Amino acid sequence: MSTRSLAIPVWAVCALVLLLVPAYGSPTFVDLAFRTASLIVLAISWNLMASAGLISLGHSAFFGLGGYVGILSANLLGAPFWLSLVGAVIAGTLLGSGLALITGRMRGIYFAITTLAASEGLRVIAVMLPDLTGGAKGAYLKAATFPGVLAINLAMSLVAVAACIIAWMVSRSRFHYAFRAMRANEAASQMLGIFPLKYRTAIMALSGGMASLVGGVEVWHGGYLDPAVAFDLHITITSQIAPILGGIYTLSGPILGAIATVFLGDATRIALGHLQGASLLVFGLVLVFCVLYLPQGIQGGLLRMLGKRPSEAAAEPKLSPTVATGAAKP
Amino acid sequence: MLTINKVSKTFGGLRAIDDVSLNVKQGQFFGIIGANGAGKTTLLNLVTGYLPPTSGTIEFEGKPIHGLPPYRVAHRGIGRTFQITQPFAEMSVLDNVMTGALFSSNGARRSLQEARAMCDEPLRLVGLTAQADLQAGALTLGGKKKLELARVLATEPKLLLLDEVMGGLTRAEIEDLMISLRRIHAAGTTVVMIEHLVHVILDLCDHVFVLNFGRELFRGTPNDVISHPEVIEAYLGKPLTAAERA
Repeated sequence: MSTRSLAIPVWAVCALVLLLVPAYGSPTFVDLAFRTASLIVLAISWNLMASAGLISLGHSAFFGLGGYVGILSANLLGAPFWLSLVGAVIAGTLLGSGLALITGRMRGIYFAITTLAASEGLRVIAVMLPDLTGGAKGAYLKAATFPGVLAINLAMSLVAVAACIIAWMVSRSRFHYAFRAMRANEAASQMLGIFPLKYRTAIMALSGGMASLVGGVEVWHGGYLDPAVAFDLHITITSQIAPILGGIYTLSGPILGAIATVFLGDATRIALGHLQGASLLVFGLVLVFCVLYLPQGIQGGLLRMLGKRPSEAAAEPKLSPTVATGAAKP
Repeated sequence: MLTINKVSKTFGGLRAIDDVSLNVKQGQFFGIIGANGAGKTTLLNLVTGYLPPTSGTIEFEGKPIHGLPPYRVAHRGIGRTFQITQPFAEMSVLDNVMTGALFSSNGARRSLQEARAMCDEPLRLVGLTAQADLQAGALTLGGKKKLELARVLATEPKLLLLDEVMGGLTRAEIEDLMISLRRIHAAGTTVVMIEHLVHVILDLCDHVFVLNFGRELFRGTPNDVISHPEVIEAYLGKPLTAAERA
């Protein structure tokens, strides 16, 4: 129980640090905080969908869409920073709920492939509309009013803190029960009165909005966007490596995993930067190590070190939920 | 209360349910028996919307329910347990039961605390109070069967469909569960029960319906049914004394 009572102050301090770094940190530290905050949101967003049994292989679809809505609304409509972010959230929410309605009852690998296709499809569309998006050459942000680096960095920190709070609220709501039931057995959950499509649409709208918001903030941070950057497979991969590394289906897992992923990425770049692809190799090895020796991620490992049983949500991670449930088997 | 009218279900060339009509009245304790493959579970799948009937109608409290998806059937007040248990393995026993309390037709208005408070009674009735914090996946088969029942009781069904809820339980557990089922029934829940254990059906049910190869073979009181020669031949296969020993 002592670890539990300690948890809230610890997280509060972490949130405070994340919010203060953009104003007072050194440039290196500010950049580190920005990238960590960005990945925390993406990881939480991915983990929320995964917790309902929806494994996304196309999180860059949301990220890239948010980026394009951000840059286009600023360039074409002259939208200020905040308004373009609102646009990004709305677009991501619509894409998420639209995907939920399209995928219907698809689960497991079928769902995953559909999300991958959505991301690739959006990338191709972005390439094929050069008049609008600049095509493969990309586009530069030409904002009428630039909010300043501090505001952008602070925005990302705020978004990360907000994402953590939202994930915490979800975990304490009835949605938490619906999602876990759907993940375990969507067919049987219906007999208890759960309408899976309703909860699936809700979680994908929420998750999509979050990931798009990150894309929107990132484009103001980078000032440039092209289809390969927006719909980068790297986004998809890191947003799922982080929660798996940290502890899938858990609250703190995506946060711990995002920190670890950013740290790992930087460490390998510094140590092995001269070897092409070394960082990918390290990511792969770490993932294999985690699957073998830390199946409940960093969060589960920490809990075990503290002598606590890992939470029930993390106890039996299934990375590929069963496709057929057999509930209606005659 | 539940009216199944000339319902058929075919899978390709197989007539799994063939022109079955039956009527469950409010307050009945209704047994459905039949050999393996007779179509008992298929009949429940038709009632609960997991399968659409090929023909025929199903009404609950005077309103048609065939064609409704399972969650809407559940909202009408029909609860069902699965023969092959379907626990939410990664959730605790309590959270499984809470899920029933949260998403039933009345569940939408409940807070988590209210739903939590509602779970004590179902857990006690099935005898899982001591295991409430265990992971559902860690339960024995008997425990999972009990959990199925507790979870569906938390949805406060008007009509309870039990698909071999006694399977895998010890003799003592069966006795306990029979007492609980009697109490649930006495509290006003209509029960339809598929069961292989003849003595359970004899003890609990006031009406028995016999399915054989998807068709109605016989219906009547439990004593009529077990003394009916065709039923003995089709379902029990042996004289009564041997069947009771089994």
